[in-house]
Amino acid sequence: MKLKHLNLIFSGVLIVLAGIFFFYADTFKMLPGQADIGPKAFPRFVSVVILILAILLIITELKKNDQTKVQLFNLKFLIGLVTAVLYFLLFKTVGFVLCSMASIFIMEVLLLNEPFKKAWPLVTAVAILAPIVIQLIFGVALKVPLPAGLLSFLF
Amino acid sequence: MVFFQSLLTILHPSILLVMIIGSIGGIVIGAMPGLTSVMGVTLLLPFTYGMDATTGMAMLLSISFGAIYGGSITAILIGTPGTPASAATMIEGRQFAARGEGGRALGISTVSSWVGGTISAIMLILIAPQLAKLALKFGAPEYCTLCLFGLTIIASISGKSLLKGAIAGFLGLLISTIGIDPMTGFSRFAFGNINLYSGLQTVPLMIGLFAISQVFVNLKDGVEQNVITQKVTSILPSWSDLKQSLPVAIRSGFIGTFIGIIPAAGADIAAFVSYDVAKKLSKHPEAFGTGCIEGLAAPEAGNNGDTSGALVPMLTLGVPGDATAAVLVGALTLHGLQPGPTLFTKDIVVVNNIFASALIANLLFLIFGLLGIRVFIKIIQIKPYILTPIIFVLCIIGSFALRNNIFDVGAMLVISVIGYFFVYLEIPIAPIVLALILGPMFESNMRRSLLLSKGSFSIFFTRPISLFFILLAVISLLWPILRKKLEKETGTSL
Repeated sequence: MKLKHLNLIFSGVLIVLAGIFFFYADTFKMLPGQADIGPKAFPRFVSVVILILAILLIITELKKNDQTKVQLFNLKFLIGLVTAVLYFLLFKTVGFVLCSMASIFIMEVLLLNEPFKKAWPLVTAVAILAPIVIQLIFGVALKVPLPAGLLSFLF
Repeated sequence: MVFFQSLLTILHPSILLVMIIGSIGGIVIGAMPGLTSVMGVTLLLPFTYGMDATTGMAMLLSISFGAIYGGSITAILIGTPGTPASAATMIEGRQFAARGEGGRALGISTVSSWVGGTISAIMLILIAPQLAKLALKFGAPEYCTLCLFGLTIIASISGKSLLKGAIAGFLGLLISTIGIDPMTGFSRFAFGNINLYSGLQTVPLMIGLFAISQVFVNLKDGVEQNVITQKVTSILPSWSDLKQSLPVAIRSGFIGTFIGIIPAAGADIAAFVSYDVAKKLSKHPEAFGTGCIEGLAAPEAGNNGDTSGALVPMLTLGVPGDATAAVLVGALTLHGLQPGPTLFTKDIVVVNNIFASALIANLLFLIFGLLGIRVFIKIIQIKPYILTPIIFVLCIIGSFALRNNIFDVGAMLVISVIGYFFVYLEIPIAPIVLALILGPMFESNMRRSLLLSKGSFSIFFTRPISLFFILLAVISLLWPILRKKLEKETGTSL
């Protein structure tokens, strides 16, 4: 995708965002007899400026002949994103240690720069040991109540 | 006397140990291309949740100072800046490495970093209390216009494009309006979600923007294996190298400190300005770019000079000097401390401890830099697939542990995807975070001023300090235009 097109889409998103914030500000309560400019004024001012900046961005992008191309997604990023979302959804039920082991393993494989056949002992060792060490530091020493999930019989 | 007590407090084994861990961690983070100083501080912030304010701040300062120094190791040996702040170091550094003098360059950069950092720390100790006294006289109009000045600087210096820097800043301001209205106490932009009533937590936001977005970038583009072929045995600089680099380092330390004090101008700018000044004042400017000692000492002293300088407005006014200082504001608030002049009256012990730890943190990276360089070189060459996944897990913990709320983890992930897009859209991230801190300050002080003046804006122009800040704001807004004109007239680049 061209950077120019991305910038134009981004400007569109900014305009929508500015609109939402501008009109939603109408719902704010005012104190009776409030003397200052109220809770609406600042967010509205910021939304208007964002709107103006977005339009400026559209104009400058349309004017220049920028052929730079940007690749926003690839399969590795999408797998990483899905891993992160699953981590978030399963965090409480499956627990910190197991979620972390799985996601570290997947991300390591995504980032591998050498054959899996050669790297697997290190990859597996890091995926298993790192979450345990982090659990010991945060869960045990720093007393952060990390969800134990399926391993609740252990922690 | 009080200060020496603080020095003793900081030298207590338990705090010193935490600082040593922080310093080593910081150097490693700084040396890794792709991991920046501000990311390191954000990433390791969760480790300090359970500590007291002094220990926590001492650790964070050690990380940040160490990281700014650590960036030079890769800038010199690999020719890739470990942090953006060491991009200027790279210019001369890689010339040294090409000649096989990587060790010599590392020695000069280590000592210069320490000189710059220590000057900066001393300036912090001298200036901050005076500024805090002055700041006690500040009322709402002064704070409002000071924030305005900070906000204009963000827009005028950040990123490749002025427009995109401004967009980032205003987006930060917009996000900062989510949550409780500073004056009425009513909730704003909660969109019916109870978790948004008190606003988005800044720490998960920062983790999302600075750290996890980088994880996604790494996943997409891959991480290169750092390979250092040069043998570096000892980096203790020779007497003649020291003699040549010291005057430049001292001057650059002051330049860095000054740039650090200006709200929102960070270490990368400090490094480039120091390099430029050194080149202009040098007797042999033609040597710059071919691997000269002065050109190496200047940016290294400059970027570490920024580190404590940025703490001056942060501690005394609550206005962060750079992105790292913005994260430190978050850290102080977590410990129940409100940065600003009252910190110097109510929590002077913590302030003195911060001063003392700034001095010690600089000393630590000097010691570890000079003695442990071979170990750092080994760590930098770690398999590239190991670190990113661990950073991911630490980010999750960091946002969860803040208030044990899974919502914060979700918010962090959403923001991180936005941050990821911003990397490719070339929208700078630091302005968002700075605006997050400055936004609420600006708004509440503006409204308080207008209450005082019964709605008249003249209050901002009739008070001298407030007027002064407005003038500064106007200058900084006009600076890009002024600079172009000046450059045309003088024929030099400013």
